[in-house]
Amino acid sequence: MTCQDIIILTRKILIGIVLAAIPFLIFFFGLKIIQHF
Amino acid sequence: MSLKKNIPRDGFISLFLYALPLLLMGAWLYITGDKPWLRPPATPSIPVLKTVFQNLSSWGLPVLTLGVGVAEFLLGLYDKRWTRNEKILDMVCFFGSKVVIRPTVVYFTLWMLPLLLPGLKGVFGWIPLFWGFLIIAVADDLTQYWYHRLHHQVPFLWRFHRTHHSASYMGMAMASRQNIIYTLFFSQIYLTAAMTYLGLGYAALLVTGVKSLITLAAHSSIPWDKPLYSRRWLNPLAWVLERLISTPATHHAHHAASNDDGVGHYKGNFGNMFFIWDVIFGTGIITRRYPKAYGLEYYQGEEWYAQFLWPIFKSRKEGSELSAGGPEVTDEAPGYISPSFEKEEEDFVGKKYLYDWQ
Repeated sequence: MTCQDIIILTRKILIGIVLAAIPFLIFFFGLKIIQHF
Repeated sequence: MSLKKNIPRDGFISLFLYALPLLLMGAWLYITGDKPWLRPPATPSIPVLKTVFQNLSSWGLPVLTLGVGVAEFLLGLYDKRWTRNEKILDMVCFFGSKVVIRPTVVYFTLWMLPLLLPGLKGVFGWIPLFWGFLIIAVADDLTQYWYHRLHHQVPFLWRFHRTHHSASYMGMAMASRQNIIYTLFFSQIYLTAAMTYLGLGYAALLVTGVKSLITLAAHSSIPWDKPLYSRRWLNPLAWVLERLISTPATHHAHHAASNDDGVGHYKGNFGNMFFIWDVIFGTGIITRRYPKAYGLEYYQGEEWYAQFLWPIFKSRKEGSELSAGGPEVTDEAPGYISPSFEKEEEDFVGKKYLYDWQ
């Protein structure tokens, strides 16, 4: 593996994290709001 | 506006779509005056459901998948294109994904979550199964839509997804034929595991079961949807289904080797369980016919280990995208938006539906 490969992998992992985190935060805070409206 | 420029706009629409099940549930609870969080968490009201879907998600699906695979093999649907290299790749991906990677990722995610989110275990266990199903289905499938679409439209991500498109045939094995890195960092696995930890486990099992059946059938070479098109009285059902979920026809079009046969649409139809995302974002073409050829026109039959483990292992095929120093993306890679794509996209807008709608 080259440095370039590691950079590509890191960028890919970051995109994966963002894709999982954004909907999770929407659901989490949305459900918290619903539970107490 | 090009499809690539649409990514931020569609991203914002997605934020609303993610929130939509919550808004609907909130409105429903407000109208009915129900406060389910004041009751102890309920187990599914139909115990059979729990048994069925627990088994479906553990041993049921692998058995079903193998059954479909054996049927396809016996019917000769793989033809002579299933070479030794392709067989090894399909089997390594299938067992690697179903038996090793996914169970391991889910196990360690569920092990890590109490450390990351202490005290939140089961906090949303009060959510009724129907709403839980809707929330998880959107969380899971819309995230996968984006994961999939970005791997087609962002050049540096393409090589992680290329393995899924390299086969010149379709079959149930295609559903799990992926590069190991693509499978390992499948965002939707972590999201679903997190929702399970928060108390939506039964809904997650239900979604997993339904989704696996739909995606397996969409990749299979058994065209279950054909009777819906040929029998006139079933056409209204076909009209709804082909907009709601991935059918073999629409998903096979995504795996087409070329767009030139009037059926193939490898630059769209990204939906996995639901096709509705493609309808909403304008990335879909609904077809009722099947492509003439599948795979990549420039496929060099790269070694199975390179397809499964790139970039850890590279291909020795000169000029391959998977070779050391190979091109990031070949011009005709499925979904890749080259500068010359604008004209093609204008044509695409004009042929939204490829069948004669009656």
